[in-house]
Amino acid sequence: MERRHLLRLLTAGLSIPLAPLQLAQAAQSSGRRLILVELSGANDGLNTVVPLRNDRYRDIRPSIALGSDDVFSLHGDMALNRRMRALMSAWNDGDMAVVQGLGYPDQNRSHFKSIALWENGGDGRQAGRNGWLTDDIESMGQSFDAHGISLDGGMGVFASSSGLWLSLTSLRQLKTLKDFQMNSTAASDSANPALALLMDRADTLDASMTRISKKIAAQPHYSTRLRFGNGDLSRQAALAARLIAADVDAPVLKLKISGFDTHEYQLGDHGRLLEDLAQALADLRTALRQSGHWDTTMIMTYSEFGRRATENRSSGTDHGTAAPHFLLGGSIRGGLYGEDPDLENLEDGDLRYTLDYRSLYDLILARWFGLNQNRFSNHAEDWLYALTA
Amino acid sequence: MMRTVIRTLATILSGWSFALAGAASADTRHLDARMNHADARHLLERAGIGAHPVEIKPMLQMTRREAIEHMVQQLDVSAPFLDPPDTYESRYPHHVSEGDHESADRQAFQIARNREMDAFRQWWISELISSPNPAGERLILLWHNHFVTAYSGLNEEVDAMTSQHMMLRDKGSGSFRDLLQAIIRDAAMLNYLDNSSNRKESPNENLARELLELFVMGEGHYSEKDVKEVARSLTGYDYNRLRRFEFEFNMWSHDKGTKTVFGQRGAFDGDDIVNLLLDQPQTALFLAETFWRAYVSEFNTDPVEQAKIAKAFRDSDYDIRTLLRAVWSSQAFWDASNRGTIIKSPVDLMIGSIRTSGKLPEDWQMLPYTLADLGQNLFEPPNVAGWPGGADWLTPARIVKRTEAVTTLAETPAWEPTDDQPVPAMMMAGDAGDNRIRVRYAAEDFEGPPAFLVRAFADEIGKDILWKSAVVQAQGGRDTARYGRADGGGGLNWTTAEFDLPPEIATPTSFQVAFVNDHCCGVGGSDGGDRNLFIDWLQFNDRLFLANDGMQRPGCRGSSSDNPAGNFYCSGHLQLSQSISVSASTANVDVEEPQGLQVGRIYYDGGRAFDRGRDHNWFSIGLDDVVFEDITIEALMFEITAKRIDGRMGLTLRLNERNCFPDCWNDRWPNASWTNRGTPYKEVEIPLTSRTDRTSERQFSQMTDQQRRLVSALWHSLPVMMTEMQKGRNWRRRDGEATLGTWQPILKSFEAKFQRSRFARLAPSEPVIITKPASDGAAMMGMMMASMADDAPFVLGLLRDDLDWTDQPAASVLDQPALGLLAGAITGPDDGFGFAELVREPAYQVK
Repeated sequence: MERRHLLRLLTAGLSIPLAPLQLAQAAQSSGRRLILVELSGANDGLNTVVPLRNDRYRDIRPSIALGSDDVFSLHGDMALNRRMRALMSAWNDGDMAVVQGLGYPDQNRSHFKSIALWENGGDGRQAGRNGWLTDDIESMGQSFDAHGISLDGGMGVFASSSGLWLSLTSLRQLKTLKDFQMNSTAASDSANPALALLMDRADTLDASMTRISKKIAAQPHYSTRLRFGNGDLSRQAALAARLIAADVDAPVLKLKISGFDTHEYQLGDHGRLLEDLAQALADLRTALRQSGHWDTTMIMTYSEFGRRATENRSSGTDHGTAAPHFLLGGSIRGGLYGEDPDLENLEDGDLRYTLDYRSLYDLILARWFGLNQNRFSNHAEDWLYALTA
Repeated sequence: MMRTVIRTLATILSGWSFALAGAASADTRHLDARMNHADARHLLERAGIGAHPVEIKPMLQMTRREAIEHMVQQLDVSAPFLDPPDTYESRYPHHVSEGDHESADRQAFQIARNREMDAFRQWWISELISSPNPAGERLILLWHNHFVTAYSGLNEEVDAMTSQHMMLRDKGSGSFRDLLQAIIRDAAMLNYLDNSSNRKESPNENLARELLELFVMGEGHYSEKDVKEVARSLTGYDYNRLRRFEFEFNMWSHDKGTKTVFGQRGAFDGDDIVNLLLDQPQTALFLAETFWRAYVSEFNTDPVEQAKIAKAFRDSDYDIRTLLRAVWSSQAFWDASNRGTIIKSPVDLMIGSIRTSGKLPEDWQMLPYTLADLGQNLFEPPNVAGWPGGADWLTPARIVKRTEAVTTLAETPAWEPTDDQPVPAMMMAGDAGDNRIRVRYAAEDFEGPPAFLVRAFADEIGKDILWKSAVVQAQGGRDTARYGRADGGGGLNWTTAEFDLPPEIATPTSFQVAFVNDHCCGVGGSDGGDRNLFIDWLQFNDRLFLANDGMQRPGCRGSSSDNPAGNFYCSGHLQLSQSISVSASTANVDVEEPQGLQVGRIYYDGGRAFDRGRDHNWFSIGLDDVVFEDITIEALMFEITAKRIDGRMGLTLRLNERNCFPDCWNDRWPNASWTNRGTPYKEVEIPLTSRTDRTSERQFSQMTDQQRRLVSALWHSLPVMMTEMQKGRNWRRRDGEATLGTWQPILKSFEAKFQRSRFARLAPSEPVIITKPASDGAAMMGMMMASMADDAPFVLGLLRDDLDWTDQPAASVLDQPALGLLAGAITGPDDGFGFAELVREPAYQVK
């Protein structure tokens, strides 16, 4: 069967001219990258970044409040859960920032709905559609190996009908993706816009996979000197380190750690999760320092919402509102940002959020990627810009 | 004779339609053309799903106009071809009392609901394959993606999701006005877009905004003020979980004030808003554009044609059939420039292929997972805007999988009914059991599947071993080296393995599932896939061991905390000693028919602390599965009030129709019942002491003896209920102690009156018997067995074994090549170009 002949026939008589795909002009790639770390299940902020000197903290959490032996002091009244000690050197070196009180108006307490809001930049009044950074990152051009790569399989934060957003949970998949080739003989002369799009997508993917594969292949012995744990997040972090060390040019990587929905007897489980989180991020920092990429990397954690300030009757915490999150990187200004949680001013046992989480999105897009006009510019908080100054 | 009449009629009719066409403008002349193969395939794939030769051939005898009418006749799918699974059979606990259960039971409840959703999804997929009315199914798909609701956003309220689907079947091809009115009353929609929290004092704009932006008008055709005012109009539109998700207009939450919408002022409610929306010309245009993208082209537009379609729709007072007729009759629909300009959705690609080829693949039960993998998990659209379609189906993450999936489909052998395969023994819940161990698992393969074995123990901790199974290889795993890890549970193929415990072995107390051959990338992120095993549950006779309740001993760090028990990312074992009974039988089945009031569960609902200074104090108690003589009530909630009557405190018992399902009184309410203003619900209030108002007296005097006996039984059971409900979770979570502790003195002071009061003395001697089924047993067991008993769908609704032409060259199947886009490609019967070649063509990805 003559494929070329066949495709001509397929498209014969379709008189619409080929619609060229919107190829934005290649912007100068800054070489910077963002690593998103989703804490799935809703992390308990008050037992992560702890208001240790606040008596009210022990009142509302009689059975799960942490004591001074359980924490490291950060600044002022606030302390870090001791299970995160692997990150203490990052904190001491000024490579770690804690941004407190993050939330949004009209809190939605459904895991499904609220993580979608964090992923698409919405709030309880209006949900977004695409991933929060997809449009802006795509506007930076097509010169990347990929716009973003999810290492946990989740693509919600990369929801976009355009752009090169990949899911790659193992390097073996490179081969599958690379082997994929459409018979594209007819693409160039296809007048059918749907077929033209298909062929163009196939070509782009093929080219991207070829580039990434070559970069990985160029350093076959990379992994021998690195130590990562065996947990799920550690594996993702190891893969991220490998891709970055190979100079795979993707501005966004996404990782995930699950299990934070600690409704019952949370102390042990929550501690272990934080330990895994801290260890994976600390290992990633070590690896990226070694490969010389730490200064061009920013890591950000996020989660559906925080947990209720008051503990429940099962020594756990229910779905809540505001929470702190972490930013890490070699060129950020570490420290404690935002207001300490106000435990005297709870709303039905919940913290009031003091900073719209989208200010963080603006910070990243504006200050990290240089996109001063971005989707979240209206949430810009000047004082927060000190973090990247 | 009859035949002659019909032929004559047909002649007249066709002559008439010709005359009509002749009178009409050039606009409709193209509809007189006789259908060719390409036309038939085009119409079937666009208006329906796939295009099989047996569907194409009859169309070759029709004009386009007749063929369109043929498709229009398919639009009513209110009666599906296959029976949908009944999801509300012997439900326990009920949604409203779910929160009162402890975590293991709640989890079992959620698993059962998720399983019902899976079964319903599987059913719809079977229906899409089987339906003789693909045009109707296509329309339901369109509405599902228009009035978007996702099951994940519904807190396991599966019945709301399935009722919405059936509502779309009922109303999807009638009047758009009726459909909109049903949508703003639809429980799943009201939940998904948070209208339950849209109250007068704190409006929530979600539903209002999406109604304007996504459902009716489109962005840019309304103001922010309109959104706010529409939201106010929709305040109080809610539903009742206790009454199986029935719509409920909550008048106390409704903002009755004047609103201004599109310049019109009035005290609008939801129906007024629907009418106002349909008065806007933009509405018909927005719907015409939506239907255009679904049926004509995702890439090309034509404002003139779209305006004509919109006009026809509006002129018909929003008749959906008229809209579809207008779309399919437009020149644009048939024009060559629009053919092949829609990217096939995963449903088009997979189910369309099955319908086109007539071949049901033997692994058809995996279709829901394949569709999810390709991005179209039915009942789980990604967000309120639905599946974007078009380019979104071709993201890098999906483009490879699409070709892979459809090639695999072509290569998979056809499903064959086997007579010799024994029907799995349907183990009836509560049976002595068949001594069979069932393990539900899913696998991720890497250089081979995971292997596991099951051990049975006499003790709880796994020391005293009784038996162990052979090592089995997991089936149906996902190849992680090629496709990566599953994206959440949705990407896993769940399977059930069975083991027979030899009869001589004593009944085990606990079980262990051991994952024995982990294989992975090792330390430090070297490349590779990962071999993982996921366990959902183990079932032995009437005991169900949920993996989540088990203790997992991992061989590696990390997996104990960042994953729930049952997820094996490395070798180890899962010790299962906690089980729940899935027996349907009640805890105390007696030979004797129990007398008096029987109740499945008693739980604390809410209330406030007793305050002598207040004239009106209350608390409420919920009951599940009430049986009293011949009255059966699935769910009942009643209120005890302490109110001051003539200066002295008295107790009353208040029953409201909205708090009973199906009804508090077997549909015989006293004539003197109150009806709350603005609600359709009746209410009675029965005093305990004689100090009462006249209406209450009349309500009581109009009751039947049986009804009085029930009231008495409730009074007499109050002390027992107060004790019983303290065992539930609501009591702890809602601070029952602090609230109801304050009630003890007043209740004590009235207890003696339970015996003497004329309103309460007809009680049976036994106050209340708690029948308490251990869990959602029967329903859950039914769901577990359901996948084994599923019947394979009939392709196109036909029981014909010659439908499948995939082993033949495409050309030999048809007089002329039927696959329109490939016209001319196939030269003769022997050119070897068959179904497997066809699906690999890029052109097969579009329609």
